[in-house]
Amino acid sequence: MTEKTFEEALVELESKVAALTAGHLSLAEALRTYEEGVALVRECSARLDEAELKVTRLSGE
Amino acid sequence: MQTLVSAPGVRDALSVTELVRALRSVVGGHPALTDVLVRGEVGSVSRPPSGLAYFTLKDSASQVPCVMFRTVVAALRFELREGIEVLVRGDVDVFPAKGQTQLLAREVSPIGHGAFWLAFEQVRDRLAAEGLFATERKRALPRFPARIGLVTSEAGAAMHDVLAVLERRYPLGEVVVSPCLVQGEGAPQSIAAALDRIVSRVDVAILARGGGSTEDLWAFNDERVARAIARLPVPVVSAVGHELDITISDFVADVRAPTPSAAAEIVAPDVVQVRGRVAAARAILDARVRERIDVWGDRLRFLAGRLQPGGVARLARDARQRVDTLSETLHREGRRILADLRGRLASVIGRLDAVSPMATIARGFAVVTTEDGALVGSVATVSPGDEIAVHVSDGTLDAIVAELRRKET
Repeated sequence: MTEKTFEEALVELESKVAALTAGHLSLAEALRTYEEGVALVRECSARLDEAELKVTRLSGE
Repeated sequence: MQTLVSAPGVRDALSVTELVRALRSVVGGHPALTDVLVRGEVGSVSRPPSGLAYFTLKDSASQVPCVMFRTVVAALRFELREGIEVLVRGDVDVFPAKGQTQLLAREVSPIGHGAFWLAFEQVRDRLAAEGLFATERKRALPRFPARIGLVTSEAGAAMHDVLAVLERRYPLGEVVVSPCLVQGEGAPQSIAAALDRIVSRVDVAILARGGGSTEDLWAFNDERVARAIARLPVPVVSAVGHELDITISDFVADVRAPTPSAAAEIVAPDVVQVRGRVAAARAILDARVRERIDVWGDRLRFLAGRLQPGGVARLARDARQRVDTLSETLHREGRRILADLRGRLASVIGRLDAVSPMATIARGFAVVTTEDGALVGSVATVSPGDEIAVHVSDGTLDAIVAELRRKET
């Protein structure tokens, strides 16, 4: 499995937020969703902190 | 001196309108002045809100006013600007309100740039007919591109501008630079090849070139470039020249950006806003889970209240009380039933006593039987001299029958 892209992580985070907001989860599910959401927040934040623009150049002219 | 007014022909003088009408009758429709082709430089241009356009057409020695009607203006395929050289086809007429001859332009096309513009129009019309500019072909840009293709000259300011904006706004991505010539001989092929090289390597592509003259930007009007943009499987943002420059690349691209810097801003979300979204997500998660925990906490507290020692004691006390009440009832009832039974027993015994022959005997009656024990109920049962037994309450009297006396009936 390839590493998820930042966008995938963000989309997943937002779906956790939506699930928790909808409020039909059991307490155990809600807590698990919360933990997963917080993990995604950490992941997104870490990626933003570490981000550095990478520039590659194609040759072949 | 004879004045003009006193001349005998004063009454025959023409009105201005009559003169202009006469002029118009000579000029309008004159074969040498109809459907003429004139070349010249555009002088001042005026475009009032009426939709008509007025300009002067001039050369070094002369000038003539020109007017274009709305339909002609609408059909123009270039911007009519002062200083450009044009070819005008039209008819000379007189504008009565000013008594002025003017050229009614039916067609205006640029010369000099004309060859370029002709090619531009031809390519544009052909590609438009093929549907390459159609709105439904336009693809949406990815929200968070992982790889951004940048097709431009490594020597140009455009590359620097794009990279600077991406560095500041969106360091999450990777930029794949595909260098190419952006002007001069061979530029169209070079741009098309550079576009083809980034296929399948990026999520979105920026085609950029800084400002320049119409000739400098010309490669971006080339059909080969247009087709390379169209066949790229990812969305393309075209940023060629400055705001007012429009090229065919702009028409084919999915998005047109006014400048290369603007293209970078369009392609990449601002990381500050992204951080904001992540933080907002965190805040909502916290708030929702706290709500849930509060709800469950209330339930738990309620249940815990029921389970606490005091609670049990109360339950037990209640139960014991009920048992006491029940047993008391049972005892009371039991005693009542017992008394009742005793009463009923006594009455039954009493009734039994009443019917027993012994009780009768006790009152002084006796039972008489023969020697063999048969009850003597009648005088006919015995004869004088028979031995009989007389049973009383506490014993038996042995007796002999002395005499029989029958009761008279």
